[in-house]
Amino acid sequence: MDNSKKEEAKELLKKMKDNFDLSLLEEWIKDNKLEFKHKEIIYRVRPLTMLEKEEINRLTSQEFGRLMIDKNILTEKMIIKNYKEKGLDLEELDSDMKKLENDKRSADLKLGEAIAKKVDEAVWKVYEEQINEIKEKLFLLSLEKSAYLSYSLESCLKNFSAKCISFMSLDKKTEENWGRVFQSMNDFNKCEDEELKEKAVYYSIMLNYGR
Amino acid sequence: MNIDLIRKLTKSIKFQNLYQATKEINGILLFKNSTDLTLLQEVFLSYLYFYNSLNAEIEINKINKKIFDNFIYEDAYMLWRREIGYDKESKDKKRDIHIAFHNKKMKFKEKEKCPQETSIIS
Repeated sequence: MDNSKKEEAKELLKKMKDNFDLSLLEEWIKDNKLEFKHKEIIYRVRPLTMLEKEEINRLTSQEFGRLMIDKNILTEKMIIKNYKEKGLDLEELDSDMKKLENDKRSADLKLGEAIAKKVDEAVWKVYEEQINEIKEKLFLLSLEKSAYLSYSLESCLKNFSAKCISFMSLDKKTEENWGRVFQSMNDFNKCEDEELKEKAVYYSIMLNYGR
Repeated sequence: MNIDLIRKLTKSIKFQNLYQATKEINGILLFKNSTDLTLLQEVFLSYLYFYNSLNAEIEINKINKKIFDNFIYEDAYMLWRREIGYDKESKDKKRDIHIAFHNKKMKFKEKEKCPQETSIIS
């Protein structure tokens, strides 16, 4: 991955973090309704209902069926094999990541022991730097891996499911009533307000992911 | 998910006090919903517990409060505590406990109910 892309990714992550308000988070955690203002309109992202979750499962399995018969879409395994034939070993990337994770764990344990045994704080700093360095390397490697596999069947399905969650959980306030902004995936795809869509994806995944 | 912000919120005095209060006083709720927690709320609760444990250890002077300077310190200590911890370190010391009782030295073996007289201290 070239340096400008790395910087871009870091910048995006920082932007997401900076835009998040602590007092808003406090409100959101209390009632699970993430309200936000965008272009003078009040929106919210809310937890999905049981029916909506079932609808997402139905849409996702439909999409899976569609992707499976599309000859242009390859699974992760197939992509890894193709890259290997062209001289790029993604499994090596995996083992590098595994090694870094082990290094991090070992540095974490040493730091933990230093804290427990009340060793001088200068020692804590040394481990902290080591851990930060490893974390950064791990972050970049995982970005690199995601970039190589971003067009795999698995990634397409994950993105599709994230979009489903987003379009279903985004509401708009009109006078005192809340109503869904997008009635279908098509509506969501057609919407040209990329910033709104980005916010909807980010917030709804935060709220609903894994449910 | 923005874990750093959740951590900042859960380690705040306000939420630590609130968490303590929910454990001691019936009827104080952290969330409007009491069931069907979202992932966000589950993570929030686990960090409340995490910081509650750290605060308890700082209170009894087991660790330095400087641990709160950095998430890395907090995570590393908690990992060490979970994976290795004080127990394992002190297990060997605990295996045989000798107590000087009157003029007799009593030896308590681990998991043994009755003490055995081993020697007499002159």
